[in-house]
Amino acid sequence: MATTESITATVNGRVETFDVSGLECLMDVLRDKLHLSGTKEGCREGECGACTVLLDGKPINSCAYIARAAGGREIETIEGLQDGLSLRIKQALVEASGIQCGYCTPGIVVMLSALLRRIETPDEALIREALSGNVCRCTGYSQIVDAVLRVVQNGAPAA
Amino acid sequence: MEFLSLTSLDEVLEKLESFGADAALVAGGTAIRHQLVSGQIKAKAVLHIELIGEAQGISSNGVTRLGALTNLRDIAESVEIVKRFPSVAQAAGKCGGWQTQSVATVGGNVCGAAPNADLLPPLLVQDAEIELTSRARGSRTLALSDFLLDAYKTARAPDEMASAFLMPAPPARSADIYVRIQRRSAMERPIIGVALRLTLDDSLKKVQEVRIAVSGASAVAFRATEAETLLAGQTPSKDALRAAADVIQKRCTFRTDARASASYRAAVLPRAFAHAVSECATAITDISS
Repeated sequence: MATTESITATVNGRVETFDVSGLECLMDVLRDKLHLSGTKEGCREGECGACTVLLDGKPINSCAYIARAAGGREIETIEGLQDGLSLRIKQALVEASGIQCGYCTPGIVVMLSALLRRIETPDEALIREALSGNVCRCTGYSQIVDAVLRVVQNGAPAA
Repeated sequence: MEFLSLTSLDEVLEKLESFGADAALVAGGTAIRHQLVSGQIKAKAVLHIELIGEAQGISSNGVTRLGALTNLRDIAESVEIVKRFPSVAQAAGKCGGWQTQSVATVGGNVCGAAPNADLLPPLLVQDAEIELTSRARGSRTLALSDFLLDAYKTARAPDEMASAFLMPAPPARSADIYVRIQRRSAMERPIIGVALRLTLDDSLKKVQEVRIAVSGASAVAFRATEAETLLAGQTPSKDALRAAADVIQKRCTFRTDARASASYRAAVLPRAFAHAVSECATAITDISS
C-alpha cells in the first residue's frame, strides 16, 4: 500500500536524494538510508529528544516527522555540526561532565546549538526550558546546564 | 496513499474539494502522524500544509488574528500574544518540548480536538472564533465552543481548512492564565488544564466577568458557563469559589486513565481553579496599582 517516492533535500550542506515510503519518519531515513547514525532512536514518539535534528534551522524530533515533508528543505544532523559554537558546546559538555552514557548527547548538542545560535546569552531558566524536550537518565541535567553556562560565560559567539 | 506537499491555500482547498473526507491535513504531524500510522485515522490522501504562508503569522487590528498554521513556539514567544493573551502563550509553551513546538501548529492542536488539548482552554476563554475556509463557500467563522463537538470531533466540513483564529482584545482590569496539573514539569500532557480570564470591577474587589474553560476533565474542553454566571458580581471569597468549583465539577465526566484517576481529577480541579482566580486577581491589582 505504501507508495515509494524519491526525495531530494540538503543534508549537512550536501544535496542528497533518497527513497521514502508511506509516512516513514525522517529519523529512519537519516539512520538507515544515509547512514547518519549519530541521530539516536529513543522513544520513537517525540518524547525524548534523542533524535533531534535541525530542519531549516529549527529543532525537531526526527522520529515524529514525515520524511517526505522534508523534501527540498535543509536538514542538519549532529554529524554536520562542526562550527565553532557546536564545538564549544561539545567541549563544555566534556569539561562539565555533562555526558555519561552519551546516548542523549547528540540530541542535546543539536538542541543547544539551535538555542545558542538564536539567543547568545540565555539564563538558566531558559536553558532548562529549551532542554525540557531532551531526556537524560544519567546526569540529572545539572552538569548539562553547567556546560551551557560555561559556553555562555566564556563569551564570543561562533568563531 | 498519496502524499502531496502543497504550497498555497488555493491548492489545499482544491484538493480538499476532490478528496473530501478521504484527505488528512498534516502540518508538523507531531500528533496526526501517529494516528495515521496506527490506523486510528484513515486517509487516502495526506495533504502536507505546513509551509502555506497565507495561514501563518499573528496580526492585530483590534481583533488579533492568529494564523492556523502558526507554530506553537512562535506563539509562545510572540510579544503580541504574551502581552495580550498570556494564557495562550503559556499553553503553547507547555505543549511538548521545543522540538514539538517548532512544527506543531495551533490549528492542528485545535482540530485534533483531543480531550486534553492544551490550546483549547485558553482560546475558549478569549471567546476565540475559528475561521474555516472552503473553495465552494469561501470563509465562515464559528465560535470555538460551537466548533468542538466531542472528543476528536469538530464541526469542520470535509472540504474546509481551518485558516485562522480571531480573538477580541480583552477589556481593562483583566488578566488570564493557563494552569496545568501534570505529573512532571515537561513533556507531559495535562491531567487537568484550566484557563481563566478574570475581569474585576472598578473597585478591584468584585468580579465583573469571569470566563472559565477546562480540559482533561471531560470528552473535550468546555466553557463552564454556569460557574461563570454564579461568580459574576461576587467577591471571589473562599466560599464563592467553592460554590463555583462545585458547579464546574458537576459539568465534568471525570475519566480514569494512565495519568490519573477520576477521583484525583475531581479533587485537584477546585484547587487549580482557585489558584487561577487568585493569580489573575493579583495580576490585575499589580497592574492597576
